[in-house]
Amino acid sequence: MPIVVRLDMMLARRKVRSRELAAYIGITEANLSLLKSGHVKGIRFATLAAICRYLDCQPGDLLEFVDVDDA
Amino acid sequence: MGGAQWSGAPIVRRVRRVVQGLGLILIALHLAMWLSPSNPVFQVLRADRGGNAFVDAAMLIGAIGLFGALLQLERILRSLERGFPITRKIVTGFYRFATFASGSMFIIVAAPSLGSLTNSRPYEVAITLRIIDVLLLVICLSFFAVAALIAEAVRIDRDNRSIV
Repeated sequence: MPIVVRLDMMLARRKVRSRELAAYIGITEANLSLLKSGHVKGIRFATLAAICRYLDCQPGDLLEFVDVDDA
Repeated sequence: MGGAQWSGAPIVRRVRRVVQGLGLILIALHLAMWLSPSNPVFQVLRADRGGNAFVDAAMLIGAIGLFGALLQLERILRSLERGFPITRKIVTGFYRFATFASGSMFIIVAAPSLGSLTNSRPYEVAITLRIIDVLLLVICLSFFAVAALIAEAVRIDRDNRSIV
C-alpha cells in the first residue's frame, strides 16, 4: 500500500496515549492499533476529522504517499 | 396450569429431527423398493415408474442427495442458531446445499426420460417432464442466486470491517 499512516509518530509528538485517542474518536483500541500499523483498507472522514481535531493536526500529517517504485 | 409443562425444543432441533426422520424414511422406502421389486407393497409405485430398475436406482440416488442437501441446510441453521455470524464457511455450505438440491432434483426429473433409453424396444424414447418437476428444479437452481447474494453481502461486510 503506497499510503503510509504516520499516526504513531504524531501520537508520540503530542504525547497522547492510544487509549485516550481511541476513547475520543469512539473506536476500539484494536482498530486504532490496526490503523497505526496500516492494516486497514480505508479510514472514514469522520474518524480522520476526529483524530485531526484531537491531535490538532492536518490529514497530511497523518497520511503520506510513498511511491512503491521510489522506495 | 395443572398439566405437564411442555419444554419446547429450539426450532432448529425440531427441524433436524423432522429432516432426519423424513430422510431416513425416504431412503429406506427407495432402498426397499430397489432391493425387493417383487414385493406387492411397492408394485403400485413401481408401476408408476414403468417398473424400470434404472429409474428406481436414480430415484434412490436423488433421495440420498436431497437428504444430504437437507442435512447441509440443517447444519447451516444450527450454526446460525448458535449465534455465529454469516461467514464464508456458511456461504460455502449454502453453495453445497444448492448443488446437492439441484443435482438431486435434476436426477429425479431426468430419471424417467433416461430410463426409457434402457427399454429393449428400439426407437421408443419417452421424455417425461411435469411442470411441478420443472418448477422444483427452478426453485433449487434459485438457491445458487441466493448463495451468490449472501457471498456478496459477506464480502461487503468484510470490506466494511477493514475501514475504521
